[in-house]
Amino acid sequence: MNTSQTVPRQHVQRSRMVDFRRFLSEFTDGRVEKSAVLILIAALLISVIAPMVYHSYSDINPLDRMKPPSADHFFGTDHLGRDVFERTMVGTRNSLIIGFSVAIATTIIGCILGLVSGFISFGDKIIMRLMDGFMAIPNVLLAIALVALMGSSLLTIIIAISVPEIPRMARIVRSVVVSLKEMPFIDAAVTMGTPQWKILLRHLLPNTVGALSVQATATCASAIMTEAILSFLGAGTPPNIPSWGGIIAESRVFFQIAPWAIGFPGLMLSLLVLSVNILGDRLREVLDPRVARRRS
Amino acid sequence: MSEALLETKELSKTFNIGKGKSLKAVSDVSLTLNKGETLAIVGESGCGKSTLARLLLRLEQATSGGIEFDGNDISEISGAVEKQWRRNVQMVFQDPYTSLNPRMIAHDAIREPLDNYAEGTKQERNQKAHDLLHRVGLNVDFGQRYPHELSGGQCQRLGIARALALNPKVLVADEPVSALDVSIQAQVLNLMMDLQADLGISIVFVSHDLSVVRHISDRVIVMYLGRIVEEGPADIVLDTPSHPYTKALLDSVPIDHPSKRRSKTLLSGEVASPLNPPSGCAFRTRCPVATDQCAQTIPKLRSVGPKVSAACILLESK
Repeated sequence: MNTSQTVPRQHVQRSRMVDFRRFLSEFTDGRVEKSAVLILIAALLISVIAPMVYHSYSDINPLDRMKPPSADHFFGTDHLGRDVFERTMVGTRNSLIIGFSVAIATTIIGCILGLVSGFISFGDKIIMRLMDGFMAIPNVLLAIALVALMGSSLLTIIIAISVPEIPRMARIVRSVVVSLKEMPFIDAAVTMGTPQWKILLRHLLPNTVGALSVQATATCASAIMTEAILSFLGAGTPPNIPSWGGIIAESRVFFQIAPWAIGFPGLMLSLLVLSVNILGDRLREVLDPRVARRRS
Repeated sequence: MSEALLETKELSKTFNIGKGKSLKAVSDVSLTLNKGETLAIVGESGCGKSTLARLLLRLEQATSGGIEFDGNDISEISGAVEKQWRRNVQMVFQDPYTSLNPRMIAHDAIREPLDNYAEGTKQERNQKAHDLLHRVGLNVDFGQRYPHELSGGQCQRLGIARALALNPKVLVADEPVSALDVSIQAQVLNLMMDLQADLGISIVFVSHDLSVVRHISDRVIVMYLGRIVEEGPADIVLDTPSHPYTKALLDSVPIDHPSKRRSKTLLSGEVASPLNPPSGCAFRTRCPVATDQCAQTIPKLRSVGPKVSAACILLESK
């Protein structure tokens, strides 16, 4: 046995750095993925910068009603003469905040519920039947009810969209955990004295990441859509905050005269949702060591 | 050599499979594993040998009967006592891939048991993991690889290194080579035998492959439908089997030389269902020499020769 070699520690850390760089390069590999990353970064920048730059997005200008896109108004103007470009840019923040908040909230809560019922089997049946119940609630109706009760605010919308999404996440985590639990490597961990919490964090959770990332990004995309639907129905964010769904809703009557007023925010919505979905798929591929290394 | 390390006393395991039915996977198994020996457990699929292995590791709780380790009863231990006991008995699994976490590199997999018992400093544990890789004949660079980047044989070596990390006294190997290519099987078996010679550990070797068993084991236990039917030194049991089931099992091994071929007693029919085992001797439905008497009582293990015991009423006890 050779005991004079003393490489290990540094070696481990260096390899993790290499892994991270490889992760980045693989993540942005391919034209579609590159565009999706760029769109997402652009959306993030816009959502930070736009509200600081544009202050006149609510200014009504009757003389400039329903003007087509021009150098003055890139996306044209709506039926009240408001600049659609400014409104759309400012509305980006709303969509992103709701998309990400819902994705994060449902992932955390769904993950905990899924792990509890799948691994600890504590109240498995009760939790799952409750989840079935929550799933049966249509999110749009719940949102309308909540907005009626609590008033229209970002938080209300986030809660309303999250509640019916949590069970989906919980079910996916549970099913993955239930099947992983029977794997020999879990038995192996038990025989080598690994405590339960460590089995959960080191063996089960990392192996749910693939399923989690897909569901989280799908949730993010669908939350952005749902928010647009709610704004369209008038149950979304308050009217003083422009949102893509709201802009589309207000302009739908004038669709034939001023198509740009719903076309541009609609295009932004499609691009963002598409990008998030593409990156979600890619995330799953890159995070799975089996798929990731095979490509390189 | 003959000092008992792990002993079971009338160990039984019954699984409830719903609708009021139960399946008796292991019935009244009493066995002794001595220090430094290799004990093979052989039998057909479904004879309860894997369940027995899991009982020995306390991955399953026995329905009745007791297990003693080094003279201490361990069938009811839990918590910190159980954790301290676990380091004495480690397992090598059948499938080298699924017994490793796909998201953990080899180095971390070996370090995990060391971390669990907080042995030495982090640096020392890294060093030990490193040495173990070397010990089982793996290139040290493989420490940075994920299981899917290793071959089956390499994964099994990794599994053995991980099992050895805690310096166990007993290694339970559940068909450790049946998933490997024949050429790799020999390598892994020789590795296990070398390690046993160096470290003096006892091995429980579960297998259905009799040629492998002959190669590696000191004593053999033959199981049929959850019960021990024959037990004794490997060379005696495998060369001059007593129990009709052992005879039939050995006859099923192909012989590589035409002139050595002998008349065979091939078994007919299927293994009786463990859900509804036959009365008396469980093997009587397929036994070539069964009589009416065999249906009456469950035969007990009796001494039938020097160091050999068998459970068959037709054998004269000695």
